[in-house]
Amino acid sequence: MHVRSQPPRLRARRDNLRQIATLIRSTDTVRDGLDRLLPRLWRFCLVLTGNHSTADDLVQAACLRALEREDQFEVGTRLDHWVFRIAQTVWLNQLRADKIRRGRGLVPVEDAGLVDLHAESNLYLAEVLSDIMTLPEAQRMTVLLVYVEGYSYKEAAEHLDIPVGTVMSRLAGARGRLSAMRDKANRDQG
Amino acid sequence: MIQSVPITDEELVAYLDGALDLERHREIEAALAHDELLAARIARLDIDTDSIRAAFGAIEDVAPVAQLRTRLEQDLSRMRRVRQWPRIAAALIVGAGLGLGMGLGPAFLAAKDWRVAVADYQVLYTTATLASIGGDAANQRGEVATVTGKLQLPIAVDALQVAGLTFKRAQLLQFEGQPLAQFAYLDQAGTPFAFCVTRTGNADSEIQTGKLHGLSAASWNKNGYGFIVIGGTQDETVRRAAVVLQARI
Repeated sequence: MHVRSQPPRLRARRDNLRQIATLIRSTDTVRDGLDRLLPRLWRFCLVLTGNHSTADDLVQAACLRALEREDQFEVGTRLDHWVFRIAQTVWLNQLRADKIRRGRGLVPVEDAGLVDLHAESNLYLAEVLSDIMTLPEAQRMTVLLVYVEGYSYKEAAEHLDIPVGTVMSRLAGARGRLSAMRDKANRDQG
Repeated sequence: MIQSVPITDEELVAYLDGALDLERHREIEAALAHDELLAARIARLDIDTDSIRAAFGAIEDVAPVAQLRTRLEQDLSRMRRVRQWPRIAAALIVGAGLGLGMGLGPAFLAAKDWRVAVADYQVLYTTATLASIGGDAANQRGEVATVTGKLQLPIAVDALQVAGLTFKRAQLLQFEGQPLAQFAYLDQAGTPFAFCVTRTGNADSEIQTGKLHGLSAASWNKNGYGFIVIGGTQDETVRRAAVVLQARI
């Protein structure tokens, strides 16, 4: 006897209500959230691609992909992490396609000074940025996620699809290189 | 001194980041107090993460947000919610069949409804989208003439003025091959509003208000054209604007 279970009609109605609520909430959340996320998403894409116009294109592609899949976004989870992950996937697919097309590997950052900050901004910060942009992609992305976007090691590992230990060794590598650059700059000045 | 487990660079980084468990953190802390080599190793790994954060914060400030937003709007107006909205509409229709009462009925939020397309677009607007636009009366007259010409519905610029809202610009958009006119406004608080018109061929209907994507909306049909005023969260504001515009156009 199913004394305590609800009649199927009621259950269907409740499930339907939930389905509607989830769909409507997730679309609203994604659309509203994407607009606010644009500056950070652009920064993410800039660090990832190392190129202004490619970053613009990637932001565009990632936003459209996110909107296509907006009903897959789980309300209550982090929209920024979800969208960054989409951007990362779009970029990897793009690189893979390029590699097949042109038979070449990862694109290096050609111009270390590619980020022109406002003239009035701190020169020291501009230098820090330029140093980080010269790091290999794997290291600079890990630095961005952990030290700028505030990801935990575990979250960064999930985003990059690598073990936590690899996140730590990338950070160690990045820190080593950055401090070597700092030392060299200090020597050059002194 | 016998070191229990060798300390790796990765652990030193985790130590600096405060990401180690307490026990290991204390072991390293204790070792650092008397192990000069270890202290030198950690000094090499110790970088100023605050300035990294600050430097990257400056990138956000130079992000070309307006351009990105415009491109996104253009793509969105092309994309049309072919995948998502029919599903929501289907869910709503099933819901209606089950006797579900919602603020907005399926008739208001149907699949391929041009008003949903307008709402898709409007949610991306912020104050900044419109703040630097408009004000030049000659420009506005030209825009309105072009847009209403395509729409084949003459509307004077004066007829578009609504108390409490500043008219910013007229744009020609398209919905399923039909011209769609968008007249954009800002209120005094900087909330963006839009008044949109397209040919629907629908019978005349009275003003109906409700929420679309969380925005207040008021829509009606007249002489084969569909009209909507959308923006903000005050239903009364859009209804008042709708009453004024309906009487004039």
